[in-house]
Amino acid sequence: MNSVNLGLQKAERTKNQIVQVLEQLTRDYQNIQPELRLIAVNFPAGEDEFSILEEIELLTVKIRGYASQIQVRDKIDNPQLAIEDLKNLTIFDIPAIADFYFGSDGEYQRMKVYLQKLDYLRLVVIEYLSI
Amino acid sequence: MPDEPSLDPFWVRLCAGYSEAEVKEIEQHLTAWEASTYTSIPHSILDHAFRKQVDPLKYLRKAHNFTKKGAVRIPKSGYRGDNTAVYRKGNEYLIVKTDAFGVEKIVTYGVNDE
Repeated sequence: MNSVNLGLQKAERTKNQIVQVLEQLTRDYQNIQPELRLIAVNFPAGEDEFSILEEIELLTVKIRGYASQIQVRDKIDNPQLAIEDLKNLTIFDIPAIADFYFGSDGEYQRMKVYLQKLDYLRLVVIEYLSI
Repeated sequence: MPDEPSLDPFWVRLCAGYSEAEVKEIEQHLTAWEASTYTSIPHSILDHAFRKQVDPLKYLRKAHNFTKKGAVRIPKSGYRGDNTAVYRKGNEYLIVKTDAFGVEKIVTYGVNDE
């Protein structure tokens, strides 16, 4: 098998992973609703920065947008720009998310799993665009 | 919204099942939005509505009915490093960014205790 075919197979496998994680994240989003309410109460929005739920919503939109482009059209226009953007979306570098994730030991497990999957989706999209 | 919405399959999907008047309303609402990382604004709205399990037009109406007047804006002026800002009023928020022409557009609408 030549390298072109191997590359196509890898792209197909990676795309399948993207589609699966997207579907999981959609289901998970429904299941984290009770935790979202708790987080809103326990991590109230300040007047100087985005609330944790606003940060998560924005990350969700940005990463899902790229992933769904691959899902429906197998490509993203200007992939290098997308790779750079995705590299800068390191979820746990966002202070509000890091404080929440590492500062609430044993709590909000569904949301933490959601964030892990979202970060995984980000990495798989980068991998797809790098093939 | 794309220049020729009829060419966008997401525009066709977004309008499916709505009356002519509702389609016109959708078209009007979409002018306030930005595609962000999606292929088009209709693609973005369909994915938002799918994830949030809401009717797309109802979602667009909620975002449209959010009034910036009296809302807290973060940052108070300008935009963050990622070119976004949030307007927050009560438990609702609108995240915005500027488009290629410097016009502020909606990226997402949400509720903090959704």
